[in-house]
Order: sequence, then structure tokens, then C-alpha cells
Amino acid sequence: MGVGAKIFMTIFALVFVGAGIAVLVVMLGDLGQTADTYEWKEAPCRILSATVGEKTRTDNPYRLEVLYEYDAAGRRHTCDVYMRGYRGTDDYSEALRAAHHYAPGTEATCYVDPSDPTRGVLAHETAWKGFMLLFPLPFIAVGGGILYALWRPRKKRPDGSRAPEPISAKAKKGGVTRWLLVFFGVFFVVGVVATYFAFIRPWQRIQDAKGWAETPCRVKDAWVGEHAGEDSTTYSIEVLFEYTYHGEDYKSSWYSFGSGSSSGYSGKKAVADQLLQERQTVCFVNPDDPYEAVLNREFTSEMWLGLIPVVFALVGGIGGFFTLRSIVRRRVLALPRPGVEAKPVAPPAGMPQAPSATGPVLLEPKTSPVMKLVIIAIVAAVWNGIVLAVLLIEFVWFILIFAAIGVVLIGAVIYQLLACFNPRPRLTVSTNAAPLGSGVELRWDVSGRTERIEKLAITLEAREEATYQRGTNTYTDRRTFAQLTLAELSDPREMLTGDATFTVPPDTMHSFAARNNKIVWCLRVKGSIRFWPDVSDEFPFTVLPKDTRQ
Amino acid sequence: MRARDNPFRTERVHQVRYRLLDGTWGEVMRRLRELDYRAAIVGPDGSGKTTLLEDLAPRLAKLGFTTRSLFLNDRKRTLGPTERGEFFARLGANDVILFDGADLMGRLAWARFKRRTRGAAGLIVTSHRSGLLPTLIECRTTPELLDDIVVQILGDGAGLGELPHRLFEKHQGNLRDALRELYDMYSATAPATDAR
Amino acid sequence: MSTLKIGTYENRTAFRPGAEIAGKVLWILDESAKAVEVRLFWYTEGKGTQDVELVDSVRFDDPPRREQREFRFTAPEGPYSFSGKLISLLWALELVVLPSEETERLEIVVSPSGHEVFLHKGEEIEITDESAGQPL
Repeated sequence: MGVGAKIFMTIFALVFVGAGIAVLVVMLGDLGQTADTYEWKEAPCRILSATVGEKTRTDNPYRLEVLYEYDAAGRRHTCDVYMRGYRGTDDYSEALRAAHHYAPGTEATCYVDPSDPTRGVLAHETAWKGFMLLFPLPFIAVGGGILYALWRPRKKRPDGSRAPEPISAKAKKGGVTRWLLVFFGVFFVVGVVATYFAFIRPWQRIQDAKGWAETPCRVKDAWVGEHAGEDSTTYSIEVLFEYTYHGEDYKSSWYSFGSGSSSGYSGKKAVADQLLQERQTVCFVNPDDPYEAVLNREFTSEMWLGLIPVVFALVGGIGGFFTLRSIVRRRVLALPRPGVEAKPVAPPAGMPQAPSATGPVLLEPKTSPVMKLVIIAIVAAVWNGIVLAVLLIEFVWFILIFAAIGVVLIGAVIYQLLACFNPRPRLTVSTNAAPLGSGVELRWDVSGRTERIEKLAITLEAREEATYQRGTNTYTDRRTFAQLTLAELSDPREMLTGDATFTVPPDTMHSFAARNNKIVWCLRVKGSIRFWPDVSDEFPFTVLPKDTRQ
Repeated sequence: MRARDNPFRTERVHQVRYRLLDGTWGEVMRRLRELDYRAAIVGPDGSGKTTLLEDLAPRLAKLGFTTRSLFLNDRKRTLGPTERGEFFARLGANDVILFDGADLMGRLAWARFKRRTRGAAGLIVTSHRSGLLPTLIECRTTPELLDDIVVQILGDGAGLGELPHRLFEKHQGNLRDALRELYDMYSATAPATDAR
Repeated sequence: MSTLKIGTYENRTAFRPGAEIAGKVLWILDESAKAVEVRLFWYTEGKGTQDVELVDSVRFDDPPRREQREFRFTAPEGPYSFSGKLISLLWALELVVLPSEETERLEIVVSPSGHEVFLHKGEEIEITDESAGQPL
């Protein structure tokens, strides 16, 4: 992974960690205030009154105002606290539902402070609030995990010493981590859950609302709600309207099914002003639950923002897939135990695997054009998603820099998208891991318009790869040492399909992979196309040591 | 030329120790003592900071200190919690910490790290910029230094004429990159015959 | 300084994969040691950071100050000894005294031909110092 990509992922992860910790701290503070009511004693109580207080044009404008009485410590007490820390709600239906539940004259259960019987509550904070603490944890875990995976410590170097140490003392054991899978999994789950609540659920409600009853209603108030962020403000349409359904009076504060707020004040102001002007309009009432009613049951453009979490689900899904694949493919090697004089040894680390299957094997390209497109598209989507979010919160000065990079990424997406329409080569080999000196049957099939390819070449290649780390820098050098042309074609008909037999060069080096030094073999397909991205695919191929039984 | 025969292979280059351009080792150790063994080796890429840090280790050992090594680089920019935990669990009052790449640490993390290592006998870091700790030495390179290193590596007393000077200019004093280019040049020369 | 010697039978230094690598080690120690080990390992040299892999070893605990012992290993199927432009991989036997880490090493070759595999055959050019016009 390049330095730039690592910096980007580090910033990405830090945002996750920071946001998660901030939310967790706020939630813990909030929870701390209310949790002690769970230790209060239950007492029967009688509701004296319950109404919904309205204070429009404020935060949480609707509030259940309740009065109830109970007996405790030999005396009768009257209390008006609904819940510890209750600040009201922005959903009138929720408050109205509670007011109807606690109708005057009904018996209910309240909770009384044993140390001070004058203090009581009618309800606890919902248990969901405790579960909500779990919500920021995956963000912290994912961000922390990405940071650890990116920058995890290497083994310590030995202290400097003038006496030459045995070279064999530097032998290091390889390491395998599987918890990347956990973090990608969490990323995926968070992305899916967030997408559900931010997009799918509102969309579902829109579909359900097509069957809701059109009902006359009267707008009591309409305004533009302001939500102050760190450096900017976002806006939402707030409304309070009343309606009668089957003889019962209700009020609702749902303008549409989209949640959240966005930049752009004037459009929303125009809508609020129009509602205030008209006053009489129609709303749509849920016949199964008349507390639910909405003025606008259409899909609004801002609801598209609910798709942003899809990117996280994609990143988690794709990252998890490749991590799982690499874990399944990896071998576990055991080092010999000391104290045993002579025994057959397991193949040393760095050695290639024997063929994974007998019979013809369809090779997979190192990275398919589609996968390259997906990866570039994800990066471009995330990047441009950030640009979009920044646009919405009007960080103007930020946009220019990020947008420029976003344009370049979009260009890369377009290039890779074009490459996806290239003819696609498929290689099938008689074995995907062949010993030195052995024969391999190769078949190629190229789908698509091969007549666009001027020349198609299939080669067997081998290269050295050496990575060097010193100080704060890392370098990787590559050098091809073997190149065997298996097919060189200019006739489109021959490009479509064909086969060849080749012999893996006998007197050279097999596949090898250590931490810093590798011998890599591959089958390379290269096709030049004028005025279009070339066909260029690399198919990993394993060359085994000579079969010593022969 | 085979990699193992290339005179500029990494194992051979790593055998070249740090050459002081100004002063003596005695003066360096004296200054280090004056700084209470808390100091920074400062310099650009490829100027020998890591090599100098490694060369301080046996000299500190001779004075009775135990050295503990840490490093950060472009692939490892933080000390993981496990590494950090193990490191501080074993840190003793007689330990001098040799920390390569300390400037890659974030400001907050560096402040915390300095605080937690106050109980150690010393802390010597390498950094591309000054300011982390008082500067012990500012590593710098010269064309003549590269020339000397090349002569030492080649071992036959002869140098490469003007080539080291041109490489020095091309790589703007980064000796590591200059030596890696020499590796490439030598690797393209006539190989030893195949042993068969 | 201790005396350490490591040698293979018939002074063989080339082994095919699967062949037996056997020989004797001799040590005369200056001071007592915790253990003496014979190690079979490979390591790389070249332009990259060195990799080392310990493949097999035999350990003699509480060794007498002077002793001669036999060792036997089996040469694995790979990796072969090879040399390219960027990487050379070498096999070796090491006799190591613990904890002093005094060492004696014997380089061997593991490959089907008994010779190191050479990767870049036939690629040779002369590099000249342009100013002098002389080959390096």
C-alpha cells in the first residue's frame, strides 16, 4: 500500500475513532444521570393529568406534561416527572401516544427514590439507551483496528553489538492475523445497519404510505429548524399539523419520511412559508396507527444521502471477502523442534504450495478489471462522498482541494470502466502449480471483440522482488529474469481461442516468498488496442521445485 | 553480477559504520553526558542517523548502560499497545532508549512517551527535524564522505573517480539512495560465470 | 576465544533436495556454556532487507568444554540456493555457542544440480564511468 493511501486510510480511521469516542462520552454522561432510577422502588400511582406541551421553534418542542400521585413513607406525594433527563421530543406523535397511555384517572406504576420519597419517575429510560452505548463501539473498534492493521509494530531489532551474531539468530517467525476479518465484518454490519435506517426504512415507509388515508389537516405552525454544527449550520423543515381521524383528534410533526438535515435554507423556508400561508392542506394518515401522519409522502432528493453508508458496507464486504480468501489460502508451517537430531522437515516458510487441484484449472487474474473498477470506485465514492458531505455543510474552502482529487479519481474510474469493456482473456491450465521442467497445457479464450486488439501476447514470466527498509523509508525493487513467449497473435480468430503446451524452464528458481524477498511467477496477457486502455492481465502461477521422485 | 557478490548489497553497506565529520567519539560522548543522555540525532534522509544510533549502543554499553531499541518508519508509524506495554514493563532505571524515527510519532504521543520514559537513564532519538530533544549531532554528508564509503566498500583502495560526486549531487546528499544506485550499476555488470 | 569447527562427511558442500546433510562438529570452549546448537538455515543477501529462516537444528544442552558430536539433517525440497540481480539465497550450517553466541558457519548449496541456480544468464553489459570512459 502506498504512502498516500496509507495516510488517507489513517485519516479515515481517525475520524471513525474520534467520532465514536465523542459519541460514547456524551452517551455515558447522559446515561449516568438516569441510570440510578433503576434502583428506585415501584409504587402504584394514579394519573391526575397528561397533556402534550408545545413550544414550537425550539429543540424538542413537544413534551409530555404529566401529574400523578402515589403513597410512600406513610404520606401521599404528587409528582410531575415523567422520566429522569426527559427533555421532550421532536416527534409530536410520540408525546401524544404517551399522553393517551397515561390518560387521567388511570392507574400506573411509578418508581420512588427510597432515600427521598418526594422524588419519583413514571418511567425509566428505555433499555435501548444502554444498548445504544454499543453503537459507537464498532466505530472505535473499526477505526482502531484499521490503524493497528496499518501501523502494527514489527519485531524488535536486537541491540547493536560489535560481535557478529549468528545469521541464523535473525530467523523470524511469520505472523498471521485474522482479526482484520472482524473489523471488516463490523464495518460491513455498521454500513448495512446505517443504510437500513438512513435509506431503506424511509423508502419502505414511503411505499407503505401509498396506502395511507388522505385526510384534511390544518397546519398549526411551520418553520425551518436550525442544527448548529462545529463550523456551519444545517436546516430541516419542521411542522405541526392537526387532523381528525375516525372522530379522534390528533396532531403530528412529520413533514416527510426523510430524517436528518442538510444545507440549503431558502428552499426549505419557501416550503415552510407556503404551509403557513395555506394552513389547510391534506395529510396522509396510517390507518393502522392513526398517531402516524405525514404531509409529504414522496421521496425527496435529500433522502439520497441515506445511501452514503452503502460505501462502508461495500468496503467492509469487499475487504472481508479478500481477507477471508487470503486466510483460507494461507498455509500454516511449523518450525522443527530443538533436540531432535534428524527427521524429515516440513517445507520451510516461503515455499510454494503443491497444486490445489488435479485436472484443468481456470486461472484467476491477479486483479480483474471489474475488481480494479470496484476498488477505484469505492475510493472515488468515499472521497467524493466526503466532498458531497462537505458541500452540504458548506465548507467551501475545503471543497476545492478535495474536489480536484475527486475529479482525478473520477477520471481513473472512467479509465477503468472503459477497461471493463475490453476483451477478457481466460486462461485454463492443466495445473496451477507445476514443478520446474514439467509440461503444462494452456488454453486461452478471449471473450469480446478481439478484432480491436492489434497484437495479443501471452508470456510466462518470473521476477525477483526485493523490499528494503532502513530509517523511515521502504523501497521495493523488481527485476524480471525469465520471459517465455507462449503465444504471439495478430489474427483475431486465433486470439478468440487456442492452446499451447509449454515447459517450465528446468534450470531456474521456483516460486518463493519470504517477508522481504520473493520470486514471483505469472502468466501475462497483453493486448494493445489503439486509442483505448490496453488489455493487461497478470495471472499468478506457481512453480514448484523439481519433482525429485523423477 | 550475482546479488551476493554485489559490493553494495545491504549486508555489506550495513557494515560501514558512522564517520564523524567533526570532532571525535570522545567529544560526542562527553556532549551526550552533558545532555544527561537525552538527545536527538538530526539529519535528512540517508545521512546516517540510524547508523550513528546503532554505533552509540556499544559505547553506551561500555559505560554500563543497557540499551533498548525502538523504531518507527513509513510502514509502522505508531507503537502498538502490545509493543508499548511490553517495552514499558521492562524499562529500567539503567536503560538508555535508542528510538529511531521518533519524529513520526504524533505530538501528543511523543509528549506522553517522553513523560513515561523519564525514569530511564536516557533517551536518544533520530529525527528529520530538530526540536524533539536537544541536538546531539546534526548528521550531514559530503561527496568526499560518499567517496570514502565507496572506497571502504570496494576494499581495493581504488574509488570510482568522479562517479560518487555525481551521484551525491543527483541524490542531494542522500547516501542511501546513492549507494542503492551503485548497487544497480554493479548488478548490470558482467556476472560471475555459472558455477556449472 | 573458543575453537569451533563444523564439517560435513567427505567435505560435501552441495546437496540435492532430500539428501542427508551429515557431519561432525567440534568445540573447545573457553568457558562453560549453557548449550551448543547446530543449525541448518537459509538467508538472503542483496538489495532487499535480509530474510533468514531456521529450518532445522539440534541442541546439546550442558555441553562439556570439549566435545565432538555428529549431526544429521535432511535437505528440504527448497528453496534452492540461487542468485539473481536483486536477491541471493544461501544455505548454511552454523555451530552456535549459547549464550555467548560465538559462531562458526559453513556455507552449503541446496539444489537439484548441486550448484547455485543463476537467474540472469547472458545479461551482461559494461558500466563505465562516463567521465573517464573506463569500465568500473
